[in-house]
Amino acid sequence: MKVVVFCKSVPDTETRVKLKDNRLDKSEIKYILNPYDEYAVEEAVRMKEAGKVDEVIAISMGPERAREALRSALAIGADRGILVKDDALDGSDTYVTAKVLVKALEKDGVDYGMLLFGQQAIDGDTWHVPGQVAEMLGLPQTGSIIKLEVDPDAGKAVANRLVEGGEEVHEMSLPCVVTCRKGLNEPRYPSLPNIMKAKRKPIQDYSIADLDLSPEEVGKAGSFTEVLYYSLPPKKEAGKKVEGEPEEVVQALVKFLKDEIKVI
Amino acid sequence: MINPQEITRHVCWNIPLLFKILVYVGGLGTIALAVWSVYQRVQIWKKGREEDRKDNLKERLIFAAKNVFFHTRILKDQYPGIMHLAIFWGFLVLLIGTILVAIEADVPFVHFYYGAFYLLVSLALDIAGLVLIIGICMALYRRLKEKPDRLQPEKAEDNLILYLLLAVAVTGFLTEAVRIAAQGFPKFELYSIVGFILAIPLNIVGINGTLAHRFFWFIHMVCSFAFIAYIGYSKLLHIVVTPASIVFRDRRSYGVVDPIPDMEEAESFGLTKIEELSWKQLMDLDACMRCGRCQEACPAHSTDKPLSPKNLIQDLKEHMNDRLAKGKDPEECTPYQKISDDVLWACTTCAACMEECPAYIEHIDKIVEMRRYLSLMEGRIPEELNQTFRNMENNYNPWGVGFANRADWAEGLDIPLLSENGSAEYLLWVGCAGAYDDRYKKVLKALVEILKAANIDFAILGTEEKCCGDWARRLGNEYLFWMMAVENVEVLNGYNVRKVITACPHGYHTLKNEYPQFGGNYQVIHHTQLIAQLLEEGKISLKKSLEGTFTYHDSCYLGRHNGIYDEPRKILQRLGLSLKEMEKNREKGFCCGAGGGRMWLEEKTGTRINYVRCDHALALNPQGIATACPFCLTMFDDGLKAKDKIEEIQLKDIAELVAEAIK
Amino acid sequence: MSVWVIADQRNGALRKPAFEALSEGRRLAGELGTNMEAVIVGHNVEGLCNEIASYGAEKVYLIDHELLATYNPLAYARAIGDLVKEKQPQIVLMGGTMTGRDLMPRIAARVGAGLAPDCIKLEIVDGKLKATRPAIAGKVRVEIGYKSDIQMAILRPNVFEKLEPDSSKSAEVEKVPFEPTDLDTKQKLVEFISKETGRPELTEAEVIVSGGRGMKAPENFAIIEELADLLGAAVGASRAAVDAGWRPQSDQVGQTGKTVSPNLYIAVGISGAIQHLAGMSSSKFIVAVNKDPDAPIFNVADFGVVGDLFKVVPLLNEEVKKIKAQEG
Repeated sequence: MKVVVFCKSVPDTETRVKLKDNRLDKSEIKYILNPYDEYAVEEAVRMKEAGKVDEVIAISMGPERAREALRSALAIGADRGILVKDDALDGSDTYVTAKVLVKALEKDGVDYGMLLFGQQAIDGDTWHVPGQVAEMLGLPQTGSIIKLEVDPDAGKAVANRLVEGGEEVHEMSLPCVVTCRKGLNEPRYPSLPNIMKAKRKPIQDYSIADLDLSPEEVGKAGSFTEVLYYSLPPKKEAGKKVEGEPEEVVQALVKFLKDEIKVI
Repeated sequence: MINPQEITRHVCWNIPLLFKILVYVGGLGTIALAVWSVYQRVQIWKKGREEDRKDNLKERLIFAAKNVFFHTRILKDQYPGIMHLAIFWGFLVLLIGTILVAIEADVPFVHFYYGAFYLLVSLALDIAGLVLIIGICMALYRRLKEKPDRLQPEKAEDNLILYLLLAVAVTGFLTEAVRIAAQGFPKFELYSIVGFILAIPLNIVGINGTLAHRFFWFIHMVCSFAFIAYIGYSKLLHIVVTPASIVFRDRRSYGVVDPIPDMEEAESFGLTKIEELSWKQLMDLDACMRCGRCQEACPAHSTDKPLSPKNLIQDLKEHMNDRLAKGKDPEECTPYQKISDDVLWACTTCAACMEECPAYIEHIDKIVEMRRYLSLMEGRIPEELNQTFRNMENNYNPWGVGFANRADWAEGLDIPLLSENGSAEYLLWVGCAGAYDDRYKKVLKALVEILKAANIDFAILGTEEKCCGDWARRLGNEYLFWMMAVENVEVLNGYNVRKVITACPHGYHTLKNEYPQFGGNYQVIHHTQLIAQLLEEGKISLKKSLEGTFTYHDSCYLGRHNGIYDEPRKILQRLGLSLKEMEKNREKGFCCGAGGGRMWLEEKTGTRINYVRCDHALALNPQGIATACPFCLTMFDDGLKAKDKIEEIQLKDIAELVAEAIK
Repeated sequence: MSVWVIADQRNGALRKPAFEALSEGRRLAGELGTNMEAVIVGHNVEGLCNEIASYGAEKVYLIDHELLATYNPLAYARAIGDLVKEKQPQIVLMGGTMTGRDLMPRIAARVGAGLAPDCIKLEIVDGKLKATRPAIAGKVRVEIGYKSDIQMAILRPNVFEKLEPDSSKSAEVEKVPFEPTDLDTKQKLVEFISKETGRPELTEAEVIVSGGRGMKAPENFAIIEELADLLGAAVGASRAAVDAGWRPQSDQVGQTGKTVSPNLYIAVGISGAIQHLAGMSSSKFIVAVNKDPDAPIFNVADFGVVGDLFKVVPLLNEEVKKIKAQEG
């Protein structure tokens, strides 16, 4: 069975967000492979090591820096990569992203048994693309999985999905879509030979023309939603510090917990 | 008046021709055997990697000579030191004597063994023999009665060698004694004092004839040849190997590790096959006499971790023999079968082992090579490291705090940025702790106050600074280290940095001793060196005297690795503090436990190293503890808190104390 | 051009985010001067229509079928998506439960409409929906505009106000037929493993209450545990508490322990040394209780209480209990 893992190049979690001309200032940003995608790649590679999968393909839609994200996936153990890169893709919303990725899969012609995603990209935080891809391809999906069992011969997969108050266990026929999250596995630290080998694994580049898409169908032009405005959330008041009689401070704390955090 | 020519003995008197032939055949034969054994060992070492250790040859030979003849390092432990000195000199003098006798006997036209010379040599040899026997007895007592921990486990050869050598010495005296008796106790033979005295009781019981003489002579010969033959098959080989090991020792600071050549092209990293070690590293394995001083000094071993530096070397030696002598298949025979991962991760790279080793064996580089294999080839690292390595990759510091925040600590302190000023006399290397650890930020701030008070022209890199990478290298992640080092060097060289001040011994060590490997050559100064100098030169003046009894903890990377012991102590004394020394200080300092990357690892077995060190300090009942390293400070902080002593005892970095005193 | 709300139900009961979505849907419908209509999918859920009506829905589309008894992304997306395509509402909302976040993207793809997730604010601007949502782990706020005719949005739970239901209200119920196809059988929810009992897992918890050296003894963690249970939180510990043997290693939060990013982290008797911060600094909100006003934890806390934790925490527990009793 072949599986495809969807990867995104995202800013590291510690990134300080700065805005410039109503856009994100990317000058001081370190980009990494989306941590949620790491769970997906790790799971795919483990399936390969268990003999259930014979090829793991990593795919990404993004600017040139997405190539690094693919290399990270290859270092973990993916076999080859696909990068869809085109200036016209700038400003694409999740629907367009899903559309483009589906086209790339078709163009590549891979006969996949499973499509693995990270639950969310830590920059967009939408959770959209996996479901949109699944719907476009008419595939079953289980999101936010913390356990996966696959039987390629029987053409079935069983996944445990984390929901409020417990886990849903879904049985799906292959091919299917899953989105991965923390708790599914512990991503390995890639060995240096694998990091080096990854530099030589093949990455196929596609432009939108290769996918028979026109500029009007992608990017801002082809999107259903657009970003109108970026703003920074109201600055967290430099932590309040209260001192005094226990009764007083507790009252203040309770108010904070109740009204501002709404945890009570 | 006796004719001097008569003051002599006829060498090989009473010895039949057959024996004489046997002596030469046996002698040359066993010597050839010994030489052959050495040759075989050399062939094995040659299978290792090339390495140039022939630099400064004159210094090397003199240094080795000092150690060999004056036992400079061996004598650091009194009893075994004296014991070995006795055996060594006893044996050496007897050997010289034997050679002299052989020359006298067999080199034609050469005749000197008579008269005053004869008396002198006779006395010297007898004293030497006695000293030798005393030494051997001291050794036997140690092995049979005292049984020190560090000598365990023992092997048969340990006592066998002693018995054999004892037999040689004793039979030598017996032979001499019987001869003296058989020759009728010539008066001048009093100079062979031991033999003379021994002859008396032998004579009384009738062991005084030519037959007895031949008998003992023969036994003496056999024992001697057994001894020589045994050289090649036992630790006696150290007679040759250990001096060689000292000659070719690593002259650099202890903790310096070599880079992996050709990182980009290399197919294998770290120790996969024993022959990847250099010839000197292989020689090290044969130079080890299992004296156990390393094990005794090792902080990991003494806190019940699975690591024993001695066992590590011995295990590697066994493996080397399996692979390179017995020819076992590298696929089936790996060093990691004997040496478990836990053993390797337990090391703090404190170099206490290397400081003690009389053979100047290099333990750290082998451990790092093996850690490189685990980290880089296998990704087989303790779980905690996964996140720490990622933190370094993404944010250039082990805590993973945003790299864009690296200059936040300096906000409002009016500290020049190198990017703004373009240049400064000194670069203040802040280090990760100074930038992100709240406790150590205070130390950096104190240091900045001192620098400003002394009008030092300095600047910081701010967000352009990345972790020096020390801990990543020690843990074997040479790739991660290489990334940091190369990038740091680029930035530093871009600004033409010449002089660097740092508060962290690990940064000090790495920038000074290892960055040259990547093209970074800087004059690096530790803050205690600088402060000591500033006080000397009067560039800062102490406005008040501090009171109290303090003890100073030597950071391994400042002390053993780089020889900086005095400056911090001078500063503390100048401050008016009364200084008390902990047990195990200076070269014998006991590690705080955080070195070798262990700061980022959990201590899962045995007692905590930092608790033990805290106990050393608390035993002095001091009012304060002074450190000069962020890791040591953290370890003491943790330890004192755990022992509930943090309120009572002042734990301060030297910079903080000085900053207080100059206000 | 109505405002639709997809009402999320599980095991025959509507979920809290559904009420919030209905309330917001009602508000937006009012602004647009149009109807608010609801869609409910499931099996034997007709009884929920009245409750939905009480939140102001003028009409409820009921898609009731055996195959829809449990969540099936394929079937649900098809049923709802096709209905949306047929009826063309202007706005479609759903509460951000795990089902909502899973399902809405499928519907949006099927319908060909713009979708904004995790919204914290919705407005009508020039007759169209405008959504505000956080991104980059909340470090930035994004305002989304729509170019599609149908504007879809998922609402973040616990943000929008829930209206007071009016049981006198009623709604027209339209039963929508559902024809299962082969596609629908590709997936089935076969089991639900309940985890209502016990505390949440540390790395997944929304709220964590952690104790450190200041707790002084293992028994004292009882007040931490009490607070945790009152808040439905997980219990964590600093390295000092674990080293002292008061808590198991699995509870350790920090550099060499677990890394957590809950919504709320309450640090009790924890100084906040960098090794600990490394494990919890990405918490959304941090509350600290410590008797040392200089403890580094106060540098990162949103709300810090300088005081004796042995007085503060039990008092806090009492107050929380009181409030919970009031709320019923």
